[in-house]
Amino acid sequence: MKRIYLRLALILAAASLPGASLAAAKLALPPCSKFPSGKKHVYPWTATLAGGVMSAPLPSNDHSYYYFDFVAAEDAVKTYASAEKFSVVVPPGVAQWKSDYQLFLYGKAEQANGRYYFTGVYAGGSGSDSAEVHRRDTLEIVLSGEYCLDSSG
Amino acid sequence: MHIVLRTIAVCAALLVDFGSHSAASDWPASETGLPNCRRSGEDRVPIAMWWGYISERFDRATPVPPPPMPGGTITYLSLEISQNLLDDPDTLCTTLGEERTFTLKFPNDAKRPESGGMRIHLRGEAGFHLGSCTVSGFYISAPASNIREGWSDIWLRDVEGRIGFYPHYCVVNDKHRPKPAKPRVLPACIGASDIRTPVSVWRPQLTAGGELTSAPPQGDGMIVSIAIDTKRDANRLCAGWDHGHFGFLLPKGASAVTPDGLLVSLLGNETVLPGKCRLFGFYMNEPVFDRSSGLSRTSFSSVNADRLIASGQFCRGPEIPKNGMPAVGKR
Repeated sequence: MKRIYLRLALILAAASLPGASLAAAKLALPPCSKFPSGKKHVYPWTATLAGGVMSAPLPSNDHSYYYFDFVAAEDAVKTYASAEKFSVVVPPGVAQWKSDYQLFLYGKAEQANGRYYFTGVYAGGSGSDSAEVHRRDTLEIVLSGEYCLDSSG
Repeated sequence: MHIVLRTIAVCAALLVDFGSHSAASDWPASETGLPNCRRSGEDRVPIAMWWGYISERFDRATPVPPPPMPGGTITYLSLEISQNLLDDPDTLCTTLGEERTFTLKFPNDAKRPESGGMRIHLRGEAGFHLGSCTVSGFYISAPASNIREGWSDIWLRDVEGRIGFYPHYCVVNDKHRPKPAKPRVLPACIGASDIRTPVSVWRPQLTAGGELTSAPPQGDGMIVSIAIDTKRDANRLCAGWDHGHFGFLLPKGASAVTPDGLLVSLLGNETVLPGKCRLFGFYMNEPVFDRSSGLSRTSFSSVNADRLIASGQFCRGPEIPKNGMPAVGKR
Protein backbone atom coordinates (compact mmCIF):
# COMPACT_ATOMS: atom_id res chain seq x y z
CA MET A 1 0.00 0.00 0.00
CA LYS A 2 2.84 2.33 0.95
CA ARG A 3 4.52 1.57 -2.35
CA ILE A 4 1.34 2.54 -4.24
CA TYR A 5 1.21 5.91 -2.45
CA LEU A 6 4.86 6.54 -3.24
CA ARG A 7 4.26 5.68 -6.89
CA LEU A 8 1.23 7.98 -6.96
CA ALA A 9 3.28 10.79 -5.41
CA LEU A 10 5.96 10.36 -8.08
CA ILE A 11 3.36 10.43 -10.86
CA LEU A 12 1.80 13.60 -9.42
CA ALA A 13 5.20 15.23 -9.07
CA ALA A 14 6.00 14.47 -12.68
CA ALA A 15 2.58 15.73 -13.76
CA SER A 16 3.21 19.05 -12.03
CA LEU A 17 6.24 19.52 -14.28
CA PRO A 18 4.72 18.93 -17.68
CA GLY A 19 7.55 20.55 -19.61
CA ALA A 20 10.02 18.16 -18.04
CA SER A 21 8.84 15.09 -19.85
CA LEU A 22 8.02 16.87 -23.11
CA ALA A 23 11.41 18.48 -23.52
CA ALA A 24 13.62 15.62 -22.38
CA ALA A 25 17.20 16.28 -23.34
CA LYS A 26 19.28 13.76 -25.24
CA LEU A 27 23.03 13.85 -25.26
CA ALA A 28 24.64 13.46 -28.67
CA LEU A 29 27.62 11.36 -27.67
CA PRO A 30 28.61 8.13 -29.41
CA PRO A 31 27.34 5.03 -27.59
CA CYS A 32 29.90 3.14 -25.54
CA SER A 33 31.26 -0.05 -27.00
CA LYS A 34 30.68 -3.32 -25.15
CA PHE A 35 34.42 -3.81 -25.23
CA PRO A 36 36.95 -1.68 -23.32
CA SER A 37 37.81 1.38 -25.40
CA GLY A 38 39.53 3.60 -22.88
CA LYS A 39 36.73 6.13 -23.14
CA LYS A 40 35.04 7.68 -20.12
CA HIS A 41 31.50 6.42 -19.69
CA VAL A 42 28.71 8.94 -19.16
CA TYR A 43 25.52 7.55 -17.59
CA PRO A 44 22.16 9.22 -18.07
CA TRP A 45 20.26 10.36 -14.99
CA THR A 46 16.73 11.72 -15.24
CA ALA A 47 14.77 13.12 -12.32
CA THR A 48 12.24 15.74 -11.31
CA LEU A 49 11.85 17.49 -7.98
CA ALA A 50 8.53 19.10 -7.14
CA GLY A 51 6.24 19.31 -4.16
CA GLY A 52 8.96 17.87 -1.97
CA VAL A 53 9.04 14.69 -4.02
CA MET A 54 12.04 13.45 -5.95
CA SER A 55 11.21 11.10 -8.80
CA ALA A 56 14.46 9.13 -8.77
CA PRO A 57 17.31 8.41 -6.40
CA LEU A 58 20.39 10.55 -6.74
CA PRO A 59 23.15 9.09 -8.88
CA SER A 60 25.51 6.93 -6.91
CA ASN A 61 29.26 7.25 -6.51
CA ASP A 62 29.68 4.16 -8.68
CA HIS A 63 30.30 6.26 -11.78
CA SER A 64 32.29 9.44 -12.37
CA TYR A 65 30.20 11.13 -15.05
CA TYR A 66 26.45 11.50 -15.34
CA TYR A 67 24.33 13.19 -17.96
CA PHE A 68 21.79 15.11 -15.90
CA ASP A 69 18.28 15.68 -17.18
CA PHE A 70 17.10 17.12 -13.90
CA VAL A 71 14.13 19.48 -13.57
CA ALA A 72 13.32 21.12 -10.26
CA ALA A 73 10.47 23.42 -9.30
CA GLU A 74 11.70 26.99 -8.93
CA ASP A 75 10.74 27.16 -5.25
CA ALA A 76 12.79 24.05 -4.53
CA VAL A 77 16.02 25.60 -5.76
CA LYS A 78 18.24 27.81 -3.65
CA THR A 79 20.39 30.29 -5.58
CA TYR A 80 23.60 32.02 -4.51
CA ALA A 81 25.56 35.18 -5.22
CA SER A 82 27.46 33.26 -7.86
CA ALA A 83 25.11 32.91 -10.81
CA GLU A 84 26.27 29.35 -11.37
CA LYS A 85 25.74 27.82 -7.93
CA PHE A 86 22.49 26.15 -6.93
CA SER A 87 21.32 23.72 -4.31
CA VAL A 88 18.25 21.62 -3.68
CA VAL A 89 17.13 19.70 -0.65
CA VAL A 90 16.44 16.12 -1.57
CA PRO A 91 13.75 14.74 0.69
CA PRO A 92 14.24 11.45 2.52
CA GLY A 93 12.42 8.34 1.46
CA VAL A 94 13.46 7.99 -2.16
CA ALA A 95 16.78 6.37 -1.44
CA GLN A 96 18.83 5.12 1.44
CA TRP A 97 19.17 8.32 3.44
CA LYS A 98 16.87 8.98 6.37
CA SER A 99 17.07 12.76 6.66
CA ASP A 100 17.08 15.65 4.19
CA TYR A 101 20.03 15.59 1.85
CA GLN A 102 21.45 18.62 0.07
CA LEU A 103 22.58 18.56 -3.54
CA PHE A 104 24.82 21.40 -4.73
CA LEU A 105 24.96 21.98 -8.46
CA TYR A 106 27.62 24.14 -10.06
CA GLY A 107 27.41 25.40 -13.62
CA LYS A 108 24.83 26.99 -15.84
CA ALA A 109 21.15 26.09 -15.61
CA GLU A 110 18.10 27.31 -17.48
CA GLN A 111 15.36 28.99 -15.49
CA ALA A 112 12.07 28.81 -17.39
CA ASN A 113 8.45 27.78 -17.00
CA GLY A 114 8.66 28.10 -13.21
CA ARG A 115 11.47 25.54 -13.08
CA TYR A 116 15.18 25.12 -13.19
CA TYR A 117 16.58 22.79 -15.82
CA PHE A 118 19.92 21.21 -15.01
CA THR A 119 21.09 19.59 -18.20
CA GLY A 120 24.56 18.41 -19.13
CA VAL A 121 27.42 16.19 -18.05
CA TYR A 122 28.09 16.52 -14.34
CA ALA A 123 30.86 15.06 -12.23
CA GLY A 124 31.24 15.11 -8.49
CA GLY A 125 30.82 13.10 -5.38
CA SER A 126 28.50 12.57 -2.46
CA GLY A 127 29.03 12.51 1.28
CA SER A 128 26.82 11.48 4.16
CA ASP A 129 24.68 14.61 4.21
CA SER A 130 25.34 16.35 0.91
CA ALA A 131 26.55 15.88 -2.64
CA GLU A 132 28.33 18.31 -4.94
CA VAL A 133 28.30 18.10 -8.73
CA HIS A 134 29.98 20.34 -11.30
CA ARG A 135 28.77 20.77 -14.83
CA ARG A 136 31.32 20.09 -17.54
CA ASP A 137 31.38 22.19 -20.67
CA THR A 138 29.42 20.26 -23.29
CA LEU A 139 31.52 21.46 -26.21
CA GLU A 140 34.75 20.39 -24.54
CA ILE A 141 33.24 16.98 -23.78
CA VAL A 142 32.27 16.62 -27.43
CA LEU A 143 35.54 17.92 -28.91
CA SER A 144 37.74 15.80 -26.68
CA GLY A 145 36.44 12.53 -28.10
CA GLU A 146 37.16 10.97 -24.71
CA TYR A 147 33.58 10.30 -23.65
CA CYS A 148 30.83 7.90 -24.67
CA LEU A 149 27.24 7.51 -23.56
CA ASP A 150 26.50 4.37 -21.56
CA SER A 151 22.77 3.70 -21.43
CA SER A 152 23.20 0.17 -20.13
CA GLY A 153 22.14 1.25 -16.64
CA MET B 1 51.37 28.10 -9.08
CA HIS B 2 50.32 30.47 -11.82
CA ILE B 3 51.72 33.38 -9.86
CA VAL B 4 55.11 31.70 -9.44
CA LEU B 5 55.30 30.85 -13.13
CA ARG B 6 54.21 34.33 -14.06
CA THR B 7 56.76 35.94 -11.74
CA ILE B 8 59.50 33.80 -13.26
CA ALA B 9 58.33 34.73 -16.74
CA VAL B 10 58.27 38.45 -15.87
CA CYS B 11 61.76 38.31 -14.34
CA ALA B 12 63.09 36.39 -17.33
CA ALA B 13 61.55 38.87 -19.71
CA LEU B 14 63.00 41.81 -17.77
CA LEU B 15 66.48 40.26 -17.69
CA VAL B 16 66.37 39.61 -21.39
CA ASP B 17 65.21 43.17 -21.87
CA PHE B 18 68.62 44.49 -20.78
CA GLY B 19 70.21 42.88 -23.82
CA SER B 20 67.46 42.80 -26.37
CA HIS B 21 64.29 44.78 -26.65
CA SER B 22 62.82 42.41 -29.24
CA ALA B 23 63.12 39.43 -26.89
CA ALA B 24 61.20 41.23 -24.16
CA SER B 25 58.46 42.02 -26.63
CA ASP B 26 57.85 38.25 -26.84
CA TRP B 27 56.39 38.36 -23.34
CA PRO B 28 53.77 37.16 -22.50
CA ALA B 29 53.95 34.87 -25.54
CA SER B 30 56.81 33.00 -23.88
CA GLU B 31 54.64 32.50 -20.79
CA THR B 32 52.22 30.34 -22.76
CA GLY B 33 54.73 27.60 -23.45
CA LEU B 34 53.45 27.42 -27.02
CA PRO B 35 55.53 27.98 -30.14
CA ASN B 36 54.91 31.18 -32.08
CA CYS B 37 52.69 30.83 -35.14
CA ARG B 38 54.32 31.25 -38.52
CA ARG B 39 53.27 34.40 -40.35
CA SER B 40 52.07 32.38 -43.29
CA GLY B 41 51.57 28.74 -44.16
CA GLU B 42 50.32 27.98 -40.64
CA ASP B 43 48.23 24.83 -40.15
CA ARG B 44 48.09 24.88 -36.37
CA VAL B 45 45.28 26.48 -34.37
CA PRO B 46 46.27 30.06 -33.52
CA ILE B 47 45.82 31.05 -29.87
CA ALA B 48 45.47 34.78 -29.19
CA MET B 49 46.64 36.49 -26.02
CA TRP B 50 44.89 39.03 -23.84
CA TRP B 51 46.91 40.74 -21.16
CA GLY B 52 47.17 43.89 -19.06
CA TYR B 53 45.55 45.57 -16.07
CA ILE B 54 41.79 45.99 -15.83
CA SER B 55 40.15 48.29 -13.35
CA GLU B 56 36.66 49.74 -13.10
CA ARG B 57 38.03 52.88 -14.70
CA PHE B 58 38.04 52.41 -18.46
CA ASP B 59 40.87 54.36 -20.07
CA ARG B 60 43.53 54.18 -22.77
CA ALA B 61 45.67 51.82 -20.72
CA THR B 62 42.88 49.27 -20.53
CA PRO B 63 43.65 46.32 -22.79
CA VAL B 64 41.32 45.94 -25.74
CA PRO B 65 38.94 43.02 -25.08
CA PRO B 66 38.94 40.04 -27.42
CA PRO B 67 36.39 40.20 -30.23
CA PRO B 68 33.20 38.08 -30.10
CA MET B 69 34.24 34.53 -30.75
CA PRO B 70 32.66 31.18 -31.54
CA GLY B 71 32.42 28.62 -28.77
CA GLY B 72 35.55 26.62 -28.07
CA THR B 73 37.93 29.44 -29.00
CA ILE B 74 41.00 29.37 -26.76
CA THR B 75 42.65 32.58 -25.55
CA TYR B 76 45.65 32.96 -23.28
CA LEU B 77 44.99 35.41 -20.44
CA SER B 78 47.55 37.19 -18.32
CA LEU B 79 45.52 39.77 -16.43
CA GLU B 80 45.60 41.77 -13.26
CA ILE B 81 42.05 42.67 -12.30
CA SER B 82 40.75 45.07 -9.67
CA GLN B 83 39.03 43.31 -6.79
CA ASN B 84 36.09 45.65 -7.36
CA LEU B 85 35.23 43.66 -10.47
CA LEU B 86 34.62 40.41 -8.60
CA ASP B 87 31.05 39.12 -8.95
CA ASP B 88 30.98 38.32 -5.25
CA PRO B 89 32.60 41.27 -3.44
CA ASP B 90 32.47 39.37 -0.15
CA THR B 91 34.94 36.75 -1.38
CA LEU B 92 38.16 38.53 -2.27
CA CYS B 93 41.11 36.99 -4.10
CA THR B 94 43.83 35.29 -2.07
CA THR B 95 47.30 33.97 -2.75
CA LEU B 96 45.93 30.43 -2.50
CA GLY B 97 44.61 30.54 -6.05
CA GLU B 98 40.89 29.85 -5.74
CA GLU B 99 38.10 29.97 -8.28
CA ARG B 100 36.54 33.39 -8.73
CA THR B 101 34.15 34.97 -11.19
CA PHE B 102 34.42 38.45 -12.69
CA THR B 103 32.32 40.61 -14.95
CA LEU B 104 34.51 42.95 -17.00
CA LYS B 105 32.73 45.73 -18.86
CA PHE B 106 34.19 47.55 -21.84
CA PRO B 107 31.75 50.28 -22.90
CA ASN B 108 31.80 51.40 -26.51
CA ASP B 109 31.65 54.98 -25.26
CA ALA B 110 33.35 55.56 -21.90
CA LYS B 111 31.30 58.75 -21.42
CA ARG B 112 28.05 56.87 -21.96
CA PRO B 113 28.58 53.43 -20.41
CA GLU B 114 24.84 52.77 -20.50
CA SER B 115 25.02 52.59 -24.29
CA GLY B 116 26.52 49.10 -24.17
CA GLY B 117 29.72 47.51 -25.34
CA MET B 118 31.59 44.31 -24.57
CA ARG B 119 31.04 42.33 -21.38
CA ILE B 120 33.35 39.46 -20.42
CA HIS B 121 32.17 36.91 -17.86
CA LEU B 122 35.33 35.31 -16.58
CA ARG B 123 35.56 32.29 -14.30
CA GLY B 124 38.78 30.65 -13.26
CA GLU B 125 41.52 30.27 -10.72
CA ALA B 126 42.52 33.70 -9.43
CA GLY B 127 45.53 34.65 -7.37
CA PHE B 128 46.40 37.84 -5.51
CA HIS B 129 49.32 40.19 -6.16
CA LEU B 130 49.91 43.80 -5.08
CA GLY B 131 46.26 44.46 -4.27
CA SER B 132 44.81 42.95 -7.44
CA CYS B 133 43.45 39.61 -8.55
CA THR B 134 45.67 37.82 -11.03
CA VAL B 135 44.37 35.50 -13.71
CA SER B 136 46.61 33.68 -16.13
CA GLY B 137 46.38 30.62 -18.30
CA PHE B 138 44.37 29.24 -21.18
CA TYR B 139 40.67 30.08 -21.29
CA ILE B 140 37.93 28.78 -23.56
CA SER B 141 34.91 30.73 -24.73
CA ALA B 142 31.59 29.10 -23.97
CA PRO B 143 29.34 28.56 -26.99
CA ALA B 144 26.68 30.92 -25.71
CA SER B 145 28.14 34.27 -26.60
CA ASN B 146 25.30 36.71 -26.87
CA ILE B 147 24.20 40.29 -27.27
CA ARG B 148 21.62 41.78 -24.93
CA GLU B 149 20.55 45.41 -24.67
CA GLY B 150 23.61 46.64 -26.48
CA TRP B 151 26.08 44.45 -24.56
CA SER B 152 27.98 41.69 -26.33
CA ASP B 153 28.59 38.97 -23.77
CA ILE B 154 31.47 36.52 -23.86
CA TRP B 155 31.89 33.73 -21.35
CA LEU B 156 35.44 32.61 -20.65
CA ARG B 157 36.31 29.55 -18.54
CA ASP B 158 39.73 28.23 -17.64
CA VAL B 159 40.64 25.01 -19.39
CA GLU B 160 41.76 23.30 -16.13
CA GLY B 161 44.36 21.29 -18.03
CA ARG B 162 41.73 19.51 -20.08
CA ILE B 163 43.25 20.28 -23.43
CA GLY B 164 46.25 18.55 -24.93
CA PHE B 165 47.88 21.41 -26.82
CA TYR B 166 50.90 20.08 -28.60
CA PRO B 167 51.18 19.89 -31.61
CA HIS B 168 47.94 21.51 -32.72
CA TYR B 169 48.36 25.00 -31.29
CA CYS B 170 50.59 28.02 -31.63
CA VAL B 171 50.48 31.46 -30.08
CA VAL B 172 49.72 34.49 -32.19
CA ASN B 173 50.12 38.21 -31.89
CA ASP B 174 46.99 39.97 -33.08
CA LYS B 175 49.10 42.27 -35.22
CA HIS B 176 50.40 39.31 -37.19
CA ARG B 177 47.44 37.05 -37.69
CA PRO B 178 48.81 34.06 -39.62
CA LYS B 179 47.38 33.03 -42.93
CA PRO B 180 46.47 29.35 -43.08
CA ALA B 181 48.53 27.22 -45.44
CA LYS B 182 45.37 25.97 -47.11
CA PRO B 183 41.63 26.19 -46.38
CA ARG B 184 40.77 24.02 -43.42
CA VAL B 185 38.30 21.37 -44.50
CA LEU B 186 36.50 18.76 -42.46
CA PRO B 187 37.40 15.40 -44.05
CA ALA B 188 34.61 13.33 -45.53
CA CYS B 189 33.49 10.25 -43.60
CA ILE B 190 34.76 6.95 -44.99
CA GLY B 191 31.81 4.59 -44.89
CA ALA B 192 30.60 2.52 -41.95
CA SER B 193 34.11 1.69 -40.73
CA ASP B 194 34.80 5.34 -39.86
CA ILE B 195 34.96 5.70 -36.06
CA ARG B 196 34.75 9.49 -36.22
CA THR B 197 31.49 11.27 -35.53
CA PRO B 198 29.69 12.36 -38.71
CA VAL B 199 28.71 16.01 -38.67
CA SER B 200 25.10 16.43 -39.68
CA VAL B 201 24.46 18.89 -42.47
CA TRP B 202 21.44 21.19 -42.38
CA ARG B 203 20.83 23.63 -45.22
CA PRO B 204 17.25 24.74 -44.83
CA GLN B 205 15.48 26.79 -47.46
CA LEU B 206 13.57 29.80 -46.21
CA THR B 207 10.12 30.68 -47.50
CA ALA B 208 9.37 34.13 -48.91
CA GLY B 209 8.18 35.00 -45.42
CA GLY B 210 11.51 33.94 -43.93
CA GLU B 211 10.23 30.75 -42.34
CA LEU B 212 12.01 27.41 -42.26
CA THR B 213 10.89 24.51 -44.41
CA SER B 214 12.73 21.71 -42.62
CA ALA B 215 13.59 20.81 -39.04
CA PRO B 216 17.18 20.83 -37.86
CA PRO B 217 18.87 17.74 -36.46
CA GLN B 218 18.80 17.98 -32.67
CA GLY B 219 20.71 16.52 -29.74
CA ASP B 220 22.46 18.13 -26.78
CA GLY B 221 26.05 18.72 -27.91
CA MET B 222 25.40 17.65 -31.50
CA ILE B 223 27.69 19.36 -33.99
CA VAL B 224 25.81 20.47 -37.09
CA SER B 225 27.10 22.12 -40.24
CA ILE B 226 24.62 24.84 -41.18
CA ALA B 227 24.23 27.13 -44.15
CA ILE B 228 21.35 29.60 -44.34
CA ASP B 229 21.00 32.62 -46.58
CA THR B 230 18.55 35.26 -45.43
CA LYS B 231 17.40 38.50 -47.05
CA ARG B 232 18.18 42.01 -45.94
CA ASP B 233 15.15 44.21 -45.44
CA ALA B 234 14.54 47.80 -46.51
CA ASN B 235 16.48 49.03 -43.48
CA ARG B 236 19.39 46.80 -44.58
CA LEU B 237 18.89 44.61 -41.51
CA CYS B 238 19.20 40.85 -41.82
CA ALA B 239 15.83 39.08 -41.76
CA GLY B 240 15.58 36.98 -38.63
CA TRP B 241 18.04 39.11 -36.64
CA ASP B 242 16.79 39.79 -33.14
CA HIS B 243 18.76 40.98 -30.10
CA GLY B 244 22.08 39.46 -31.03
CA HIS B 245 20.99 36.20 -32.54
CA PHE B 246 19.03 34.89 -35.50
CA GLY B 247 15.62 33.34 -34.92
CA PHE B 248 13.69 31.37 -37.53
CA LEU B 249 10.33 29.75 -37.16
CA LEU B 250 9.45 26.32 -38.41
CA PRO B 251 5.67 26.70 -38.55
CA LYS B 252 3.22 24.20 -37.19
CA GLY B 253 2.68 21.32 -39.61
CA ALA B 254 5.74 22.10 -41.75
CA SER B 255 7.69 19.12 -40.51
CA ALA B 256 6.66 15.70 -39.28
CA VAL B 257 9.64 15.75 -36.90
CA THR B 258 8.29 18.71 -34.93
CA PRO B 259 4.60 18.89 -35.90
CA ASP B 260 3.82 21.63 -33.34
CA GLY B 261 6.38 23.99 -34.81
CA LEU B 262 9.81 25.01 -33.60
CA LEU B 263 11.65 28.25 -32.96
CA VAL B 264 15.29 27.84 -33.97
CA SER B 265 17.87 30.33 -32.72
CA LEU B 266 21.37 30.60 -34.16
CA LEU B 267 24.26 32.51 -32.66
CA GLY B 268 27.43 33.49 -34.49
CA ASN B 269 29.03 32.55 -37.83
CA GLU B 270 27.11 35.29 -39.62
CA THR B 271 28.38 37.35 -42.54
CA VAL B 272 26.63 40.41 -43.94
CA LEU B 273 26.87 40.44 -47.73
CA PRO B 274 25.63 43.17 -50.13
CA GLY B 275 22.21 41.69 -50.80
CA LYS B 276 21.86 39.09 -48.09
CA CYS B 277 23.14 37.72 -44.83
CA ARG B 278 24.72 34.33 -44.54
CA LEU B 279 24.90 31.98 -41.58
CA PHE B 280 27.53 29.44 -42.43
CA GLY B 281 29.73 27.14 -40.40
CA PHE B 282 29.73 24.70 -37.53
CA TYR B 283 27.31 24.99 -34.66
CA MET B 284 26.57 23.02 -31.50
CA ASN B 285 22.98 22.28 -30.63
CA GLU B 286 21.68 22.70 -27.08
CA PRO B 287 18.15 22.25 -25.79
CA VAL B 288 16.02 25.22 -24.77
CA PHE B 289 13.22 24.56 -22.32
CA ASP B 290 11.56 27.96 -22.27
CA ARG B 291 8.06 27.62 -23.72
CA SER B 292 6.87 31.11 -22.85
CA SER B 293 6.28 31.80 -26.54
CA GLY B 294 4.07 28.71 -26.74
CA LEU B 295 6.55 27.05 -29.07
CA SER B 296 9.25 24.46 -28.64
CA ARG B 297 12.69 25.96 -29.04
CA THR B 298 16.21 24.86 -29.77
CA SER B 299 19.49 26.71 -29.95
CA PHE B 300 22.60 26.52 -32.11
CA SER B 301 25.80 28.31 -31.11
CA SER B 302 28.80 28.72 -33.35
CA VAL B 303 31.81 26.49 -32.80
CA ASN B 304 35.44 27.28 -33.53
CA ALA B 305 36.02 25.46 -36.83
CA ASP B 306 39.81 25.29 -36.40
CA ARG B 307 39.52 23.37 -33.17
CA LEU B 308 36.71 21.17 -34.44
CA ILE B 309 38.78 20.07 -37.43
CA ALA B 310 42.04 19.82 -35.46
CA SER B 311 40.35 17.53 -32.91
CA GLY B 312 40.27 14.74 -35.50
CA GLN B 313 37.04 13.49 -33.92
CA PHE B 314 34.66 14.49 -36.71
CA CYS B 315 34.07 13.85 -40.37
CA ARG B 316 31.72 15.36 -42.90
CA GLY B 317 28.50 13.43 -43.42
CA PRO B 318 26.63 13.28 -46.73
CA GLU B 319 25.75 16.67 -48.13
CA ILE B 320 22.27 17.65 -49.18
CA PRO B 321 22.66 19.63 -52.40
CA LYS B 322 21.01 23.02 -52.49
CA ASN B 323 21.07 25.52 -55.26
CA GLY B 324 23.69 28.19 -55.03
CA MET B 325 24.90 27.39 -51.53
CA PRO B 326 28.55 26.95 -50.62
CA ALA B 327 29.99 23.51 -49.95
CA VAL B 328 29.51 22.83 -46.27
CA GLY B 329 32.65 22.09 -44.29
CA LYS B 330 34.90 24.13 -46.57
CA ARG B 331 36.14 27.44 -45.35
